[in-house]
Amino acid sequence: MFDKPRAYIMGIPIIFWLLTIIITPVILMLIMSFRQKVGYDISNILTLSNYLEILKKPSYVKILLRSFRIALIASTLAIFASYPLAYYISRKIRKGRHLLFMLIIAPLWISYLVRIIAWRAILGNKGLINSTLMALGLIKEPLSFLLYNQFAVAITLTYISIPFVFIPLYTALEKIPVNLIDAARDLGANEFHTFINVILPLCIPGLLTGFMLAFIISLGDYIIPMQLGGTGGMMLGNIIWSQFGFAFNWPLGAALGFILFSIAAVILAITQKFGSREGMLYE
Amino acid sequence: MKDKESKWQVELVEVTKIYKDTIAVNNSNIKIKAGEFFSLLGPSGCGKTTTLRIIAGLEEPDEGKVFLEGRDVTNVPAHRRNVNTVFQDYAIFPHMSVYDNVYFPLKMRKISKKEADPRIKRVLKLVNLEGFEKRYSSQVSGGQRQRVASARALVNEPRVLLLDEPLGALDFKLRVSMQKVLKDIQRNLNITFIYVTHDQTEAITMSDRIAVMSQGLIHQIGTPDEIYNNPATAFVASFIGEMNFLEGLVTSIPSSDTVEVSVSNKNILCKNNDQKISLNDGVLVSIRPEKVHVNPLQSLKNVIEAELSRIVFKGNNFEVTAKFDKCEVRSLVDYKVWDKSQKVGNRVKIGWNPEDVQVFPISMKKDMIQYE
Repeated sequence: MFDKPRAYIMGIPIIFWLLTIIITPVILMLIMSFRQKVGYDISNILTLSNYLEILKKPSYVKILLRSFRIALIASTLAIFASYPLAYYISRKIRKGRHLLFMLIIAPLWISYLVRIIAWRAILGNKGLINSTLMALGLIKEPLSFLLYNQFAVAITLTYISIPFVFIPLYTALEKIPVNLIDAARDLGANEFHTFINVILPLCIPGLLTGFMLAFIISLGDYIIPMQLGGTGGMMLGNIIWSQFGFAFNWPLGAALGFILFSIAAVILAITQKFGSREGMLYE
Repeated sequence: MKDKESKWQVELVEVTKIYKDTIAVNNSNIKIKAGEFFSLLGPSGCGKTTTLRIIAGLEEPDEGKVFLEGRDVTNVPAHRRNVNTVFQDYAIFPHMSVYDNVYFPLKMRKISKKEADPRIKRVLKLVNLEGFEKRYSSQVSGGQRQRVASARALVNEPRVLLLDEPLGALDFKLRVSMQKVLKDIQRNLNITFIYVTHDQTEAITMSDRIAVMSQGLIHQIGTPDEIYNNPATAFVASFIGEMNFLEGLVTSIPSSDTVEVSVSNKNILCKNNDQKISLNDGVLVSIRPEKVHVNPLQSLKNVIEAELSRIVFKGNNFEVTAKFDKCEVRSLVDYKVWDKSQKVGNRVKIGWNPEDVQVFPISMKKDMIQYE
């Protein structure tokens, strides 16, 4: 009888926390997105005009779709890059497993900006790839398609996402009981069939979590496109940044931001639905 | 190595498996007949599970050979051996329904679901799991999970079924009823069972033959009767059933089948089961409690004066402990036979027949199970 009011009282700090840090800013942003820039002022009348403007202008839709595409490519590549790594380290290696794990997530301790500039040094005209190829005599002119385009953005986003995909994948793979693998072998499955029928289905929650993290990180990023994307590699984050930073059109920026937020929320909801099956799998 | 003709279904020849610095299986030789219920019995860490995994192909022996129906399978991987395993914690695939778990081995043999369906239904009926097809392992009880694991291992109709402590996780009543189910399946399908257990009662009641193991070594292979009544080593004697052990010295060897041992200055006539024993050897004398009579009515060759030190009621019988000097001897006395007026401290006579007493060299003492 006394438990219930106590539970409510104990919940107050959490609710306060959620309200001030998460919910209020989102609501403020949502309200802002319905206001409108008038001259150098922002009117208090709520209107849908920002959203209509975004829909009407093909360049916004184009950049939104491009951001979507780049994020999809980057997170897919990150999955393909991380999976063999996570599989190998979690299931095949006995000694030095933790060291390898640390090495893979070590880039997270290095400044984000430094890692991005490093990719400029790799992909640039006098960068690692071009100078190596030129030294080998394979090319005469530096390859220009490596930098300042969508390719550069996708590659760098992939690189940035890898640790975030690796960690949930590694955890999911490591959690699979050895006994299940033994049972599959015992019941006639070779290594390939064991992988397809047992290991892969059991790490789907980890796969989804990793994919979701990579996708959301990539979708909202604006520093990588700014540094490596050139004009053709611009993403939604850049436009939002410019609305707030240069155009002083906060309502439009907020509308764009809210669209991004909604996409992320939908993806989160979808993966959450599948991710929650994890509990059932291991009781 | 050339395949050889064999009447044995499973044969291990000088198999050794070493992990880092422990010998898990030490030069094992086991021969198992078709249709036999064969148990590997021993305390945990004795190498019985490793032996089973070597037969399954999940572990490769460091030395020795494994034959299945005369065929050398030492280097054949697990998925190409015609044996299946029921794992200790069942290892049921959590992302598949009961039905799909049982279908899995057939799927691996590229049998279509349509073709497999009657076989799956038959085996689910065999283990009494009809109606559970759509459930997941998290939605069934421990006993049902055990049966899913059995059904899945049986659906391929393997010649040999390996069971690794299949009932270890179940409570007593369920274990007893599952023992019956497994034994019935084994008898009806006439397949060879190799059964790993640490439970001696389970091994004795279910098996045709038992291999008793300790620290990687096989101490004895024999029928339950042989193992109970003629244990080959002091370890087997101590591990199987209840046993009294007394330490003594051989004082004379009156005939080829008897030895006389002095225990606390009392002479005890024993069966000479170990022909290597010679005069003045230190020995362990072993007697089963149910063979010890208190105040015997019949005349026995060994009778010793002792003092009652403990009387414990055990339902259908009494466990009576009698002491002489520093030696304690336990006796199981039938409820109807026991004189209830006896009290602790009373002087009694205890006695037994020489043929019920075995001797082992004192050097075997270190291998014995010490429960205290």
